[in-house]
Amino acid sequence: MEQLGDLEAEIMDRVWSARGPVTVRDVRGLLARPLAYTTVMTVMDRLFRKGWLRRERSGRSYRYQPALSRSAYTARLMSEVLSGTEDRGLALLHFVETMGAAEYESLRSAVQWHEARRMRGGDSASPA
Amino acid sequence: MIAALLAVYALLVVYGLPHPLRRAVWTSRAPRLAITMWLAAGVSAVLAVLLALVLLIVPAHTFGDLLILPVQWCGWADHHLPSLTWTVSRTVGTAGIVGVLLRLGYATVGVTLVQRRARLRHRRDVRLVGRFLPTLDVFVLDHPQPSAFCLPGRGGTVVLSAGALHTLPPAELHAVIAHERTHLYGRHHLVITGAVVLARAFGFVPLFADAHGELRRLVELAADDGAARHCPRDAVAHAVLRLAAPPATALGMGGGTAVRQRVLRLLAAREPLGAPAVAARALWIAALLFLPLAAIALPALSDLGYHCA
Repeated sequence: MEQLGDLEAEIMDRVWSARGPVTVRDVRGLLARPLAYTTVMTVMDRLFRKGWLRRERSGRSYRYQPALSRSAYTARLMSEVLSGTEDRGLALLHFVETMGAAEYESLRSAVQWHEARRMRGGDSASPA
Repeated sequence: MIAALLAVYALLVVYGLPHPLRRAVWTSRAPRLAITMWLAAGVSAVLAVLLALVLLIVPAHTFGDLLILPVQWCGWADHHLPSLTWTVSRTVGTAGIVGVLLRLGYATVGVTLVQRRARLRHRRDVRLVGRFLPTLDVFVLDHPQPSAFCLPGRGGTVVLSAGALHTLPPAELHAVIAHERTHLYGRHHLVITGAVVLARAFGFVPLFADAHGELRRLVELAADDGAARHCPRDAVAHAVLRLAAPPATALGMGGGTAVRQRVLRLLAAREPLGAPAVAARALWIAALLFLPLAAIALPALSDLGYHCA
């Protein structure tokens, strides 16, 4: 299961890197390891059903294109993470939320003050 | 009688505990202990209410009888289980138990379904658009805004944006990754999920309404501490500061006071709580977990002792 997932990622990577529509045969030629034609076809069919690839018939086979560019997917995912529209912390744990400009500046000067005090060897209770 | 005591106890925990626990200073010095205490309080309150409702259905000596039955198998006829005639208090008790369990179950299913769906989608998105960096064991998303997060489940995945990878000096990069791994190893998402479920089921109860926000804050502090065990505290603090910087394109989110507290706490590096203080809080936690059970177990045990004598 996980191996098929890795193959999905690899195939999407090749399709994104290609200029223009590609056939299963093209993608198979671009993969690092030799894989059965049907394996590649199955995975690409799955990616089409999941909405990652678009395809149009050409002769007896299909020509595939990415539904969205890699950067468009990335931007969508990142905007979900950054805006916190998803139920916060439920699906993922975000390292830190960005601050407002004024709060950030105030915190930065507090940090500088802290460190200056430590440099002077003041009464800072730092054991480290 | 015992049912009333349990109800009073539950009210005390639910209304009396949140305020002092939220205001307490020690929670920031021992976040993991504080997380345990919040969770213990939640479990304790739910348990006390459920047991009080059970006592409306069956008399308190039933528990003693249940203990006695296996001991004095011969005389079991004297201690038969109560007959099931419906009285007002039994109806209230049964309705209460069904109500509490249904509400909990409904909230659990709702929350976990949403969570599962979002997590599967995120995992697939990250795997397909991200690039795996084997040296750091993280996925990198090609995006300029410096950011980091982790996806729990199946061993967990740490994700960094390309912006974070470029902005953070090596020490801070390791601090960020160690922070996220502490979340994953500590199963912090389960703590948050539990808090969300309780808040959704019984949001009108002060304890559960407050626990959610507090636990969110505390797991971040716990993860910062986890990172500080592998990296210098200053590196963790600066990493938080750097990734909290307002983005160039949009207004900041304004998670202001929480972030400020995180950074200054790391820099101040106060000593951890002493052993006596930790022991005292551990006792509190133990008391929270055992008091509701003791309220029915002690009379039962005294019954047993009486019969054995």
